[in-house]
Amino acid sequence: MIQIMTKRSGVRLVAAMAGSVLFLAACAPGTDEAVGGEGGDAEDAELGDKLTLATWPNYHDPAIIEAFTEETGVNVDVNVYGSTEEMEALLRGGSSGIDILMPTHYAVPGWIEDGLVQKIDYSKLGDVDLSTWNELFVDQPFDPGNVYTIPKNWGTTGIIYAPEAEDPVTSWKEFFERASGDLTGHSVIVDHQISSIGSAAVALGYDLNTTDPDELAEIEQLLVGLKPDLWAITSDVQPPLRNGDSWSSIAWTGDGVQVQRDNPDYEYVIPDDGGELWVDNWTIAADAPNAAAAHAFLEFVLRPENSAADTEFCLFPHANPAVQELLSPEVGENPVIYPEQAAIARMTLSSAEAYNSEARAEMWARIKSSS
Amino acid sequence: MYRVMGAPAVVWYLLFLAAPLIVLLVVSLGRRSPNGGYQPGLTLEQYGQLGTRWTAFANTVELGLVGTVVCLMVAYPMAYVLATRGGRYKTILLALVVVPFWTSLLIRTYAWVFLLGNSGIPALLRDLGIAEGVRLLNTPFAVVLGIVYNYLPLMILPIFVSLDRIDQGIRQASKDLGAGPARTFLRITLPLSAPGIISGVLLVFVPVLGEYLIPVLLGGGQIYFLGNALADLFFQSRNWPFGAAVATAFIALVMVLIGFYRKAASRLAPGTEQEGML
Amino acid sequence: MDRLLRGYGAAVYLFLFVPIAVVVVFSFNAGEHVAELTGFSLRWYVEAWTNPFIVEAFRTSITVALTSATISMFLGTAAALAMPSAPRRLRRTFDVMVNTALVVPGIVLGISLLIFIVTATNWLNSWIAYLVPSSDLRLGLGFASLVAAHSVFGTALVTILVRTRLASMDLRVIEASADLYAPPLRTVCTVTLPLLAPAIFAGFLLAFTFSFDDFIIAFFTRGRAETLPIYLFASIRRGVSPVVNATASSLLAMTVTCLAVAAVVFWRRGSNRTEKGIP
Repeated sequence: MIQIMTKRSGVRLVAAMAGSVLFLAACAPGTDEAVGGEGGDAEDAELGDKLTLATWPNYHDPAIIEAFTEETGVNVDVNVYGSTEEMEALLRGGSSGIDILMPTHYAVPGWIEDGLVQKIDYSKLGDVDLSTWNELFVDQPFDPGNVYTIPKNWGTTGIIYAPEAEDPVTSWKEFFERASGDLTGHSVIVDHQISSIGSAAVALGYDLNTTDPDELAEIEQLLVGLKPDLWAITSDVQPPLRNGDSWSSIAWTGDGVQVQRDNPDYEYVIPDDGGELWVDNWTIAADAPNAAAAHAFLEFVLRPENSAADTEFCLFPHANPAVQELLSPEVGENPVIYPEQAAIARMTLSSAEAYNSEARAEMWARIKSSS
Repeated sequence: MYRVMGAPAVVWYLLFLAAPLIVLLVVSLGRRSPNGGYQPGLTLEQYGQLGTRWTAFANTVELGLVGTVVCLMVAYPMAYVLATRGGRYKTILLALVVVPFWTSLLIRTYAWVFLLGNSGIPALLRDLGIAEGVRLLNTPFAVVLGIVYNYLPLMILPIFVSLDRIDQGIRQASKDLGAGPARTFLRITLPLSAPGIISGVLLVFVPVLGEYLIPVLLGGGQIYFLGNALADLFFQSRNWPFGAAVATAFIALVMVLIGFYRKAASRLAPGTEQEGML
Repeated sequence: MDRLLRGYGAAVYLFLFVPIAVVVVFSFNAGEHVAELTGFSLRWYVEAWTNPFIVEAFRTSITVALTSATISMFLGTAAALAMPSAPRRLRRTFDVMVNTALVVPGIVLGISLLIFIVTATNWLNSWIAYLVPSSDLRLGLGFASLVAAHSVFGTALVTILVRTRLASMDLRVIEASADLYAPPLRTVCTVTLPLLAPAIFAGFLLAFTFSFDDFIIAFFTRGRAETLPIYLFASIRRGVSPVVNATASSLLAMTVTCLAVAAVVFWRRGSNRTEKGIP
């Protein structure tokens, strides 16, 4: 390369600059397939041969994805993210080349407002009837009428406690009291302001999604005081539980199932005083290069038998009762995965206001940097 | 005739280093839009809030310094052993020091989560009856250990190189002239290895300042570094302008620290500064 | 004293290798549990290397590392050769940029590239849409932005290494070549480059390693590209599995093999040279 470049010394600078511009041009993921992809107005539009999915780790049964490729010839490129915020950073960057994203519900209103996602064309989804689904997760304020989103799996933010905790930890009030009481040095809260600030709010008798300055001040005082007594503030809640370091931990449904499966002595409880309920949603990016393939994929994965396979794989509950019926008893009748409707009805969907609140975000930073 | 060959690199740097840093500065003067992200603006508001990340700045500098110094104290004798007792196997022994460096930092650090956790070293201490209820993980100690563990090879290598270069004859001469081993070490070996120490410290300290993974995995959210503050600003609060302001201040901090360091180093060991970074 | 020093050396090796040993041992563990040993099994290796996500992430990592290291190698070598004879101001600017690349923390580099690429591509995209309305071409974060980000640091590494080597080289060899009327290009190809080869190779290797292991820059600039560290970090978040250990151990085995091969090659070349009496 050096040889070639030295021969044409005169044009090198220009070439280099042009090369850089071209390089920038190459920065566009999905450019090659975008050229071929048609908008998708026609019913039988070409699906193309590619589809990109931004989702959570271990959330989809690889066999289902393979089956989709077999049926349609569309290859699915799966990209995993550790949080909704990471997916959002990608989406807000623009021209991500992503077709389908899997945000937790609280991010959805902001995405709709800023035109980041597109309306789902239900005519392409076969016989999906959301009205039969669990009412707690469809037609909610985050997306009235489910114009832009369809629930995938949902979950709860609960408490896992170990046998070492001796007495059960059954409410948020008890969780936070005992974290600086008999469970000092053995409690974990998650590194996620919505869940941790929200649960502390519930413990103090406030709304999960509070943004009231006085209430937030009180929560901050509680959490700053609690911090030295915690084992950790981390979203990787399983390792310390399994190692015996943490005895009482905020956790999400999936953690509850996995920890309990390996260690039946551990309990996952839905707190008596309620707490956070959440649901991840299929969404299609506004600038999805392969919108037609994205719809075809949704149609495929929403077939109850395929959703059931996904659910068996990821172990989070599904909002479609037809899916639940198809599950093996170990999953479909597992009280950690499918708690009683009465227990989850006590809980609240976390809100977009709480997610977007700068006051809560800054407060969380103060809590984390306090000592 | 070489002249133009430098052009691609210059263009590359203008495009992917200079321009991004300029854009960073511009964004730091903006505002956060209501749903997160960036809204153009021309205000110093974000810089006014820097105080809210004071602990992160302080933690980073403090633990970064402690980590680097401990790293140096562990690495120096090791480099000395390799250079003076390595014999025929010097190269292989040196390669062994570097091998861990070539395995994923993520996994290496993760192994310590297990080792420092309740069923690791604390359990061993408990079973041996040495100590009960020791807490190692999620402490400043664990973070410093993680730093030392991950950056040790970067410290050992340059020190080894400078020690290895020392002519044995000089040391022999010192001995012949009646200096004891301690005196020989202090007057001959240590000063001659100063360039290695100086570049080793720089090689370790700079990346440690930007650490994110080590405090996350070994500090358990209890130890908050600037890296964590920045990641949170982009991936939790989605506050780009403030994040950009913190990042800009961070660069300034690093530059100032390195400036001081270079000055101090050139005073302590004159004539080494031309060796630059390595 | 001697014994003390050797004992210290052994202790440091222990410190360096115990965590790695833990990873390797648990990767062969039969049980699901990460915390207790229940028997020997290769199942996690099978699971790791049949997991399409891991394989894909691995492939991306290798491609990114190879591409960015190659770019770094060419840019860095060319720059190191060019800068001594470049105009002073250009040389100074370049030195400042190389030092900046080395000194700016990775996380800051990642953040500024994220912001820059997002801004620049949004701008370019609107122009593309305006100038060529029919085009679907759109630019964004991804593989290329990751390569660009990694090559910033890699180029600085190569530049420094090659420059150091140049400084320690006997420049009379190059002068001699010129005196014998070899055209400059020929001097570069037959004299300078072969002498610089070890430094260039070392630079390439370092740039490759840096890119392959990098988490933090990729965390910000990856867009939808997924490297192995990113995948492992994300999967650790939702519960650990011995699959992670098996993946890491496989990487370790590969690294050690590569190092051994490189060592043998270098050692052979080294001994050949001394036989022929070339310095």
